Formats: sequence, C-alpha cells, structure tokens
Amino acid sequence: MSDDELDLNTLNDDELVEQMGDDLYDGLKEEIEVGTHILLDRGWTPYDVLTKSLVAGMTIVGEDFRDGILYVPEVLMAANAMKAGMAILKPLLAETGAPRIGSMVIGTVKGDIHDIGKNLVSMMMEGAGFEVVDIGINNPVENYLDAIEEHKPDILGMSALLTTTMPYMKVVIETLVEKGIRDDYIVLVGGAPLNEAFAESIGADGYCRDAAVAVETAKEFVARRHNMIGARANA
Amino acid sequence: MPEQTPDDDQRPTSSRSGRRTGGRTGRRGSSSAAGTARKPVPTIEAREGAAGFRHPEKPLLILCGAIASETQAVLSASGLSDAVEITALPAIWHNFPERIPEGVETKALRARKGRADRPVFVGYADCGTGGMLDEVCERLDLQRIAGPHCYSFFAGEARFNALADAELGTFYLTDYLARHFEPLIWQGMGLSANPEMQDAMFGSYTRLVYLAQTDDAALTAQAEDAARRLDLRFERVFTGYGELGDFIDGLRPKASAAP
Repeated sequence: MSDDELDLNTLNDDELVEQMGDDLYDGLKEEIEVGTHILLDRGWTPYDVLTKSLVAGMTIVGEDFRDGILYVPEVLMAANAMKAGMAILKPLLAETGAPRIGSMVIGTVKGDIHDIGKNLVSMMMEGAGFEVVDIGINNPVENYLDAIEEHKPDILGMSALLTTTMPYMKVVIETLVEKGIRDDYIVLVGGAPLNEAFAESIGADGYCRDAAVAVETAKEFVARRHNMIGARANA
Repeated sequence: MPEQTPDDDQRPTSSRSGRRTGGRTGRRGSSSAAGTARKPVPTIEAREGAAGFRHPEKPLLILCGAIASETQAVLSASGLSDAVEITALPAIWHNFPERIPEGVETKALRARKGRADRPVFVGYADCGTGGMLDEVCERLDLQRIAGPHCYSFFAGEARFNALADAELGTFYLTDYLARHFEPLIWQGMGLSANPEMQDAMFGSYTRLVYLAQTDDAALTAQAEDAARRLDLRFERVFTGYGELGDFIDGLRPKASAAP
C-alpha cells in the first residue's frame, strides 16, 4: 500500500460511509466492494448498507449529473461501482427479507436505442428495493404488453431520448386504455426532452427528470396505491 | 462572427466540491476534477458588451453556435449578411438542450428592450428541448427552424427519416461536430477521461453517418477518424445546407421591410 492509500478498515462507520460516498462518486468499484464487506462485517444489515451508503451516494451523483457537474461516463462509472456493491448485497437482501417496495417493468420506446438513463433508473430502483424487469431498447407496444402480462408490475416505466420517439409513449398508454388495463399500473415516464406537461398530456402518472427523482416518485406512487388498497380493505 | 468553439461554456462546479476535493486529494491523492476551479462562464451581457446588440434596427437571428458558420454562408449566398443581426448561444448546449429555451428567451427579451416589435428568429430546431423551445417561441412570437434537430434540417426530413429507419443505431455528425469532435464529443461527453465507458455509451450504435455540409476532404478525414475511435462503421452523406437555406430565405421579406 502506498503512502497516500487509505485502509478503509481504519475508519469509523461515519467516516467509512462518507468515504464510500466519495469512492462511489469517483467510480471506484473495488473500494466500494471492500467498504460494503467491512460494513457487513461490522454488523450492518444489508438493507442499511444499501440505503445509507450506496443509494445515498448515488443520489449525490444523480444530483451532480443533473446540474451538469458530472458527465455521463462518470455517472456510469459510479453506477458500475454501485452495481458491484449491489452484487454483494442482493443475495443477502433476499435472505434477510429486506423490504420489497414494489416492482417495475421498464424499457426504451420503439425507434429509440438510448438506454443510459433507463439503465441508471433500473439500477437506482433496484437499489431502493424495487424488483425491476428491464426489457431493453426499441420496444414496440407489444413488448410492453407482454412484459406487464408476464410480470404484473406495480409500475410501467418508459424512456425516450428523442423528440421524435417520445410521442410513442402516448401510443403505449392509449393501448393500455383501449385494453381496459390502464389503471392497473402506475405509468412513469422519463428522458431528456420530456417534461411534466408532456407527461400529463399523454396520460402518464408521473414524469421523472432523473434517476433519483424516479425512485422518489415510484416510492410515493406505490405507497399511495398501497394506502388506497388498505383503505378499500378496511371499508 | 467567428465560429464558436465548444469550450465557450464550462462545466459548473459542485457546491460539494470543497468536501469532495478535500476527501479525494487528502485521502487518496486521486484527481480533483469536480472541485477544480474553472474559468468563469461569461454571461450573455459580458459576451455582447454593455451596449447590448449593435443593430437594433435589424431583425435578430439567435442561433446555435454549432451552425454559425453554415448560417453565415447561407446568409452571404442569399445577400442577407447585412440585413440581419446574428448572435449565437454556446455550441456545447448541444449536450445540454435544457438550457436552450431560457437562453433564447433571455436574448430575445434583451433584443426587444425599447423595441418591442423587433423581429426575432431562432436558429434552432426543437433540438432535444421537448417542445420547451416552441413554448418560448409561441409566447414571444419567434420563428424557429422546422424539424426536430440540425441533422434533420441539413439532410431534409425525408432523407433523414430514411437514414434513421434504415439503421436505428446511427450516430450523426455535421461539419461542426466533425471539426469539433474532440472537445464536444470525446471530451465534452467525458469519454477522454473514462474511455472504458465507451461501450456503455455507444454499445447500441453500429454506424456513424457524417452529414456533410461542404466538400472538405480534411473534415471527411476527421469524421472518419471519429467513427474509428467510436468503433462505428463510417458513411458520408453530402447534404449541403438543406432546409437551413429555406429558413434563411424566409427571413427575406421581413429583413427587407426592416427600417
């Protein structure tokens, strides 16, 4: 170990979480793996490691990306580092019965091959406790219908980067309406050229301007949905 | 107006940079890119001088810095160079389209200070603003270039759609983007610092189409080099100035009517 390298074991919990935030920001995959193991060895629950360290760190990355401070590759590096931590935590989360907040089918719409934002959303959603089925890029409406039929998710997520492809989201939503299943799903949309007004105009439930917002929006809608189901059950 | 360079607009610094720089350099000796002090970004007022626009009697064309040279060439060929005042917004906003609507609005409002009826045109297509630029144009009565982006108005909508339909995974360059590939794409999108992320960013692309506005062997070589660096198949399609010419022609009656 060179003089300027740091032994993460020497840090107390708060310092280590802060350092992991910095390492995530810098996309240091191996350091994240080491930090994750150390916190687990110290008795942290997998869920706490995930939420208090990795997700908290990625939220800052998401904010700085939104503000133009980080560029796409840097965010991808951070996401890769988070993925490495997630790979350690995922089996443990399943074993320890960590809360599963909800489920989501997500894909980029027909005519669009852009998937960076969608991939980030998938990763952040998984990190937040959602089960995510990613159906990839260039999806015609049939792909969305097949996926929601098979997986019965709480949320259908659609992504588009192009002004020319974003109207296809409306096609998907209208098809859901025609089939009488629109209200069975929370529909969230996102992508660089989208905005609140567009999301509202096509009949989506919510617009997510970035991955961090997507997680918060998804949590809010799922909680609201569960409350409604609970209220109906108690009525 | 000289052609804009992409580094006209800089990356903002993080409000968290103090902690991050300290943490990163102090502990690891790693890079401190997020916290490095950068050249301050000149404000629009600073760029245009305290006096503001120089020819308030002329119609104003607010355009993307990435089409400044092409626009000047078309204006010149149309004999309109002296009939229109032009002002550019940063070309790097190609990577940050959410900044375009506010930038256009700010310039348009400044141009109309004391001259509310000044004709103002917008040298942008939708350019990834998702209708937000149209909202500004409608509210302020500005006319923009038709279409979704510069690739489409240079190639012509039908030809661009045919190119896109033929191969969805196509990455496009124009003359400007070919000339400034290094700062705008390679560095501007962060690939120079993180080349290992190239697959994650360009993995869905299969070819690069260089939409050439001019016949320039050196630019073609630069575009071909860009394709090689991105590991994409290269094609060149000569477009000329395409529908940009129609848009500039549309300025003529109003330009002639200006006092």
